[in-house]
Amino acid sequence: MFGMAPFLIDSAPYESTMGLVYKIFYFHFPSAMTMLVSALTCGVASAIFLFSRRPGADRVAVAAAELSVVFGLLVFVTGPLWARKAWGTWWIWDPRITSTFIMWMVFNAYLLLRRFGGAGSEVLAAAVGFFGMALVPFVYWSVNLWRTIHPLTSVVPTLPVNMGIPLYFCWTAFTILFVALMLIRVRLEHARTRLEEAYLAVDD
Amino acid sequence: MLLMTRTVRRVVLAALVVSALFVADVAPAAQGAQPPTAPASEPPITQAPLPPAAQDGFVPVRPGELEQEQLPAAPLVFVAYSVVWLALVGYVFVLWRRITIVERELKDVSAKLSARRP
Repeated sequence: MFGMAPFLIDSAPYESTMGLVYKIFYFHFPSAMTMLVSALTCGVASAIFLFSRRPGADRVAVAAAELSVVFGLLVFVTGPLWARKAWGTWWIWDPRITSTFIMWMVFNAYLLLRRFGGAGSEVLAAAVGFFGMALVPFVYWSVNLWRTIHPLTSVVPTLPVNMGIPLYFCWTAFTILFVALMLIRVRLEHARTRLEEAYLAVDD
Repeated sequence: MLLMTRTVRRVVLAALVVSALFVADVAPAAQGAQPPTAPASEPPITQAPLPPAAQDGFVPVRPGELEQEQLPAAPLVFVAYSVVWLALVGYVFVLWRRITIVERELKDVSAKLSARRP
């Protein structure tokens, strides 16, 4: 699908006010949506872990938090490149960008907590992950609540067919990639848990 | 004497930093305050005002409608797509490396454990 995407993006027309640079949208938007889905996944898994202490939920939460950071990084690379041409600036502290940045920092904090927090940090990290999820609706609807220069949420549903097909194709590709990366990342976390158990058994 | 020299040096350094900050802050403002070289009624020579970027809905361009672009968009689009591809490939590679290392270590520890067992 990622091999096919450039051909579809190439065949899509330019946007009337932005021209060629608008085509960054085809990777920027799916990256942002995947980041939001990762954040939701992390939040739900964190909530399950907080209430039931299931280790599986914790593994899913760690994996989703890391993917939130990775896809967030893609958003923060592609966004300024698009903004430089469309708005004449690399960065602007508009509500959508600022709230996304805060959410991204929350998931960075989650990962730092897990890395350096020591024993018991998974519970605190789960609370941070849940807080990160609470920011998702705020990030999504911020453009409609405070009108600045960021496009509205109504842009995607009202796209013409020749612009919509490449976008939905890329979005599907990113979603499949997210699922695949989640499975691999959860497998890594599972292997780490087994390794820790094995080391404990050796020590005993 | 040594203390005096050190204090003077600190004061001079602080003055230099403050004046550098002041110059950096004032220079753009002073540039903006300069009178325009062309009369206000004339259009700017270097760049025509761009229409604002779409916010309410994206509309495909009509053939021949797009004018010559001021800032070339192609390098920005190229960099954006390259970074996404490289970052994703890099992340998959890092994940693969991490899994390989952990699973190898797990294998070694499991072998140690089974060797210990009677």
